[in-house]
Amino acid sequence: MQIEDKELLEQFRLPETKEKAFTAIIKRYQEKLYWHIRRMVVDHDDTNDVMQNVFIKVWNGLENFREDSQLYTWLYRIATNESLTFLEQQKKKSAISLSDVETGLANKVIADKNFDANRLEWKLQLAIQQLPEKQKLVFNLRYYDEMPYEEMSKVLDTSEGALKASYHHAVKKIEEFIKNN
Amino acid sequence: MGRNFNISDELRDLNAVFLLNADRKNLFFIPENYFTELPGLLRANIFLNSLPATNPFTVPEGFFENFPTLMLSKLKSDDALVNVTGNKKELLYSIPENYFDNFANEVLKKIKQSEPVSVQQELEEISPFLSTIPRTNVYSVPENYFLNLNSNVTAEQPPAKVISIGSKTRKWANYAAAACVAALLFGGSFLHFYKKGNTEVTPAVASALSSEDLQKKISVLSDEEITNYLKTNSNLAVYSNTGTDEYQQQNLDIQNMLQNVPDEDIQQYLDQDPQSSSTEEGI
Repeated sequence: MQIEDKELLEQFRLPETKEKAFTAIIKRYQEKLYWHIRRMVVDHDDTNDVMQNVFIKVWNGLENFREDSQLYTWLYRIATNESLTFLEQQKKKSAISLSDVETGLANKVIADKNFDANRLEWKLQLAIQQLPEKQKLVFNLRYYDEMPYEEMSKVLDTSEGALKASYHHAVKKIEEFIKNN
Repeated sequence: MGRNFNISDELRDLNAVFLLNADRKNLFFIPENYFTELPGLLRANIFLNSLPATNPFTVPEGFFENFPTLMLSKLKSDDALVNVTGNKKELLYSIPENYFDNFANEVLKKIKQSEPVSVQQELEEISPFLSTIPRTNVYSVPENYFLNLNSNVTAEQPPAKVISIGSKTRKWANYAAAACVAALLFGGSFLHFYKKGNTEVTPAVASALSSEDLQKKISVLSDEEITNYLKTNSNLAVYSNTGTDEYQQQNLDIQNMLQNVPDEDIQQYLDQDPQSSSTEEGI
């Protein structure tokens, strides 16, 4: 673990420095976690809601963090689970099927004020939203966060081999989608 | 005849002065031990000459006819093992063409394969097309969002309201909520229906009706009538998928409350209290 993270954890465990350490942790990881969530839920307001939930869980659970993995791995894991929980709740609220969720997220991409269907980068975003949740996670973590498979395995609780295969399939699907659209 | 003559006297009588004065020493070479070994050699020679002149050894058929060809072919195969420098003493195995020229590249390739590849390299291998797409962030974030984020996530969270799931009080509260909602819904719908019809509805009349009659009356109500009733009675937004967020939140609250209550308990409660029997969705 990074020395700075370790120090922050120690400070968090002391009442007089708890808030200061918590603020420092947020500042250090907020953008990474934000974009990780946003790529899953697309909408900024939804992302903000999930971010709040994530850091509330961090506040409640950090004291008992066992430090058997990197802090950011643990944070990513919480962010991933909260994103998936949010999407699950969205499904239940609207009583729609899984494929409709993906269509819904694609529609949110299209609804973005900056959306430009002629730009490859936006087509890429649409393609990503066609992927099943798990594959989307693997692709985002690898493609955008350049996370090593070893770390990803701890975040997603999946074997490295399965993750590599998942990433490979995701890339092929995205390529096919962009070429066909 | 006795050997009384003297050779020297004889040579004198013959006037052979030269011979009389010559050295009579043997000048010819004789191998060492020649006379000692001679008898044995003579006996062996006599024995060998007495042996029959037959050959006891055999030779494969055609050996001598084929021998020259055999020798030539052997000499030619030896030539094939000669190295390119012409040194016929060195014998080398054959190797693929340009083996040593490519060897270094092959080794480097294997080393690179065992090393972790970068994400970009991996992407180029899987999809060269995708690797050319710029990784521009297309989404926008409200101004100063990250600056304000940690102040929004309050460090000191208020103590969460503890709702004991599964406690008896909570269970009965759930049942009571369900019963109240059901009773108000049916009662209100019933009153609304009778206002439209010929019979004037009073609480006395309503209470006099059996549960079976109530159910019959409500079953003929259209969905639109029920929905309209709910819209006009804001505190009863139990079933609405077109209502405001507040209605949806209430709906969710009730659903959440009832989520952990077993169906058997609800059915038992409803069976115990006929007036609260309901087939409405969401309860």
